Amino acid sequence: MAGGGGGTEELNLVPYLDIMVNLIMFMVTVTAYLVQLKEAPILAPTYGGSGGASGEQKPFLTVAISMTQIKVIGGGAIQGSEQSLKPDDFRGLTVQLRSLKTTIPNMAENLVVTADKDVPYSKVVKTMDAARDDAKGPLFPNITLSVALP
Amino acid sequence: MTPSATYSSEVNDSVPSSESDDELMLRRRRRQKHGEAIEGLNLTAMMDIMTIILVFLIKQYEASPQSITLSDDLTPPKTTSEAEMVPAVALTISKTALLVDNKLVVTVVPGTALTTDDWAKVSKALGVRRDQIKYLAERGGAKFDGNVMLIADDDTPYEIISNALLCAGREQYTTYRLVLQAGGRK
Repeated sequence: MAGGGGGTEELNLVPYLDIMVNLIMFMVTVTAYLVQLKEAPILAPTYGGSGGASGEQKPFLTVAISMTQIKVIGGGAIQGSEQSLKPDDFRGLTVQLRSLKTTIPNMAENLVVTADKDVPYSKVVKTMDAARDDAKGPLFPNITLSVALP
Repeated sequence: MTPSATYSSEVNDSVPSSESDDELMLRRRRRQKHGEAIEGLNLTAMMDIMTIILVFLIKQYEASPQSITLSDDLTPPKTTSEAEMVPAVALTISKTALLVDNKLVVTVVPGTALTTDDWAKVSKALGVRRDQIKYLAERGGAKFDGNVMLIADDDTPYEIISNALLCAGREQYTTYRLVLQAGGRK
């Protein structure tokens, strides 16, 4: 670096480079800790029956989650049928739903999921995951969360 | 900054200014062939690389439609769903607060239930956001599509999820998307 001469001075890039290296390290670290987010679309609840004027309604299923059990309840043409599972038996739920979908013809693609007011959100999501698909393919890709009116 | 600017300062004292950049480069190479020490490391190329990497990382960071900061108060459950996120109005439910598009609407005191007034505030905030989007749409902005994404902590009771969806439904939001963490197992 010249003190008072008229020569061309070279720009000192080292501090700038230090800043850049630190910034890159920061960005790489932040990116590594960024959570990869996905979404699970759910259908809005609809009011009224799905059956037409003929009165014939497709069989459909409702999964009710409580703190003590998971219930698979039949609706429509299979109203009255009900099966209970342990509260954390999501694998069993998948097997149960696959079995019902295979044996009952004309089953609706929609599945209604409802839960007790104290059931944690994580359990509802696990239930939805268990009901969405299995190794054989899609089960109930359209899930409606039942909303209780106050 | 160009490489020639760097070289010119190094050889300024010994080389006439009329010499071209190519000649300077050749002279420098010849000098190094004879075993002379390198006088200064040229950092320009490294700066270019660093700048490109930085720009790439910043753009990659921007590309994510919605980023959330995980904390003890807000940890969405993990899912096996592979559906990619679509940006929408965000309704966030953490252990300590309810937010609409990152604006605080209700502060939750742990252990206390949310009141009707609290839910009325959430409804109002969602309605205001809907009106803003519609106002902008009239002036050339994106159309209001009724999408709302719910970002909730994994311990949130279903009653709160249910009420949040109900509020959204009342304010003309018709498509609900649950925002979840990837990496769930069956």
